[in-house]
Amino acid sequence: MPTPLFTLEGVRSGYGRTEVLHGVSLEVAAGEIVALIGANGAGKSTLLNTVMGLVPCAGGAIRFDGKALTRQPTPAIVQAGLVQVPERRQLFGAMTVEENLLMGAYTRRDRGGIQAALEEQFARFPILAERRRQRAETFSGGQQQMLAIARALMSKPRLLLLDEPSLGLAPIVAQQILREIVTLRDAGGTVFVVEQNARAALAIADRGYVLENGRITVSGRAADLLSDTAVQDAYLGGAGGANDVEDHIREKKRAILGR
Amino acid sequence: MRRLGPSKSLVMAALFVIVAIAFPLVYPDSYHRGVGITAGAMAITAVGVVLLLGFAQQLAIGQPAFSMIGGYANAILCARYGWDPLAALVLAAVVSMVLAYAIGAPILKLRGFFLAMATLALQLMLIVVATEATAITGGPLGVVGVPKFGLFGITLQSDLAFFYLIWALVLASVWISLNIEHSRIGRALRAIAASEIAAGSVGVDIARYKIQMFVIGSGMASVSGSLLVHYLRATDPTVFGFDYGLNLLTGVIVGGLTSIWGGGALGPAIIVGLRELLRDLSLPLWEGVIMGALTVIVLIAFPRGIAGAASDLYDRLFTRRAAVPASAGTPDRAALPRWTEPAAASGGAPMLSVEAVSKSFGSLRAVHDVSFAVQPGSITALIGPNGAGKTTLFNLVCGSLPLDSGAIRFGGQDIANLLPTQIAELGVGRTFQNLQLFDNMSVLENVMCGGHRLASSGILPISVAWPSVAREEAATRAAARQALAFVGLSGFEEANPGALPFGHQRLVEIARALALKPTLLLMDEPASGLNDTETTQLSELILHIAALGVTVLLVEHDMRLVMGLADHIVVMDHGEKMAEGPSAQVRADPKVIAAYLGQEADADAAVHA
Repeated sequence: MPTPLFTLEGVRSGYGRTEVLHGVSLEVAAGEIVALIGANGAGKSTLLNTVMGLVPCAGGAIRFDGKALTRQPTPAIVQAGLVQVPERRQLFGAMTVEENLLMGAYTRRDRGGIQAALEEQFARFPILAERRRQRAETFSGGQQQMLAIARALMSKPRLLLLDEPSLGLAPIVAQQILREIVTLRDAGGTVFVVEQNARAALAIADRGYVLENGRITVSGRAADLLSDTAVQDAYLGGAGGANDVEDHIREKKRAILGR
Repeated sequence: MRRLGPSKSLVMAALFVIVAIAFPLVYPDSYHRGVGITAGAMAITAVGVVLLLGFAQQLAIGQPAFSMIGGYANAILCARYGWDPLAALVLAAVVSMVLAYAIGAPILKLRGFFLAMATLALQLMLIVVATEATAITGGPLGVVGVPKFGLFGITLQSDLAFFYLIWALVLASVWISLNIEHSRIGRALRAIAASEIAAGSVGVDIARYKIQMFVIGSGMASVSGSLLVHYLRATDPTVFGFDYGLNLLTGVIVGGLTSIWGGGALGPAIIVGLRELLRDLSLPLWEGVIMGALTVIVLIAFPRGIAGAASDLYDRLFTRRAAVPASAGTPDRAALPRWTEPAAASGGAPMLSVEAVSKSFGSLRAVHDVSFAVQPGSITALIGPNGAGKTTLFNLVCGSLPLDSGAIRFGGQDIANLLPTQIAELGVGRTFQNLQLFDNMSVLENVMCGGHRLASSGILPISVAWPSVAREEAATRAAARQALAFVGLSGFEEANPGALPFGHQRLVEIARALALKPTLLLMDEPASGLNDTETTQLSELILHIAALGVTVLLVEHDMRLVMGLADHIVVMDHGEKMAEGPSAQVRADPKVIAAYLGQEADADAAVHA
């Protein structure tokens, strides 16, 4: 593997006296999609918030492109090239699409570059161009997720951190968002994605990590994780294809309701 | 959690009685007794403030207005017309409570700063009246020559007797308020503070309890004002001015906004005592500065006031926190007795029927002419693209939004224009996509809130701890434990819901909705944020709920859950119904595939295609 762009070494953090992450190590190489999966409460969002400096890092090291990011303030981390697309989008609801996008370029000072980035996002998501003067809160969930990603890309990040991008989205929209992530990677981008929908995340990822109770327990190529029986049982609803979940539910329905 | 020491309330009560009895004996001079009487009068008002401001978090801060009514009524009636002080006190309290009831309904609809301004405006109006209506109130000079307080014709000549009377009344106010705090009404108030929408969803009549607390608090403030005026032997417009209100609020906040003992009894005593101490230093300039600085320091160091800090310390010394049981895999599910009638009893009529319902927001037609029926005992799913109007329709059924046109019938009854509370009262439970748990209560209390509609103890029996109240409370608690056991959360009763993993929090919400013994359960994206294994477990729970005879209507994006569970699926797109039918039919519908499902239901196939 090439030199990693982004590494976590024994990172510990938490809230108050409660430690949530008990020494997490992982790495992301330039140009790959890395997925982090795990149960609710495993510490996935805490990990992202620690990386972004929103939760103080209590131990270990976070490195990006050779520089230490540990204990840097959030704006400095964004300046270094990391951007988070937060869970549930966190858009500026009362602002228009264009204003939201310009907020994404808040740390940039090059007017021309900002304008070019804006046009780039409009090309990427034509729906945003059509509705550039519309307020973000009037958007549907899928459009909001596109806007959230576009806003993050405005600062020309070198690493995009996505927190639950498919949460609450219709299947067809979730597929579109996931496809967009692959497109970003194919264009040379680097993406670290945290997903509850483990199957979808591993399907698009190059590599994956499993976070359990604040520790990385399994890591490897995404395809290997998808076929790992322990991972399947814990996160993918059992062995086999996705239809297994539905078949399993159908079977239970016959047993419990008799119909 | 396991307690090693005696209960906090017992410790507080014992401390209170000892200090209240000892204080005038340790400081027998009239100055110290006067300070004690002033503090006690303020404490009676403060207890009422905790009920409304602390528990229900309603920023009604003009309580001194009612102290003024009590004060002036006693001054005028006793000094000029020779009324018996007790009779004047009772009359003033009744007048204050009636006035609070009359103005409570309109002004308690206001929130936050607006409510604060409205209650302050009331106080300001009364100050202006007291200053200008010279003929009645004596104007800026006020009323003098108020007699000492007396009971049944016997005047309390000694300040000592008056001191004990006042602090006995503080204790009585505390007792009433503690009874309220630990009742279904106390839970309802905290529920309102944590999430009004969720409080409504379990049938808590929000306006009713706010008004009740406003009325009780006004009564307490009025009694306090009456008593203070008999001690001062005079009153004027400045006695219950904005200064008084500010001191009162500072006392409540420093003592502990959410603690009857702290904010009610302790805080005012500290503030009044501190002011007197500083006055002794005779540094008028520094008095205000020091008071302000101390208040800010206490608030930063102890955000829950002195009572909160003391309570935490007590827990650290005397309470061992039992480890929350780590539960993984399939939870053990206990049986729940059935409360619904068999579906056949309805004679084939739908449980819920949505008839030509429309709703627009401005020019946006969110829901347009949608009709469908939910059969009793069935699991029905509502699906469609983001922005198709599912959530709007869901909110119309719950009563969170008014309809533009059409009808919604539940068991034959038109529920279209009912409030969420009233719909919950009829037996419609709901869960929320973005969890709406009451984070200021334990898991068990959250679920007990669900049993609110099944209990009936009112404010009067609760205030005086009538024996039937305890029996009903025990039944509510037992039912809540059963509901928790049913969702597999036995052992989590005392946990703080916010400390539980997300998946467990969702189960708490389901248990809360089940505690109201619904015949129809509405679930808004129950699988959102769950992984496949958790989704499978949730599906099983929904099946067990359906097996109890509860009809389920859910909005969900996880197609495996929808296709596996639902007996009937309704598909929406652009605010209109696009298709409906059993899963096999809906999934094969080309329109549904194009608008919603996509070519492949499985994301990896779509991406790798």
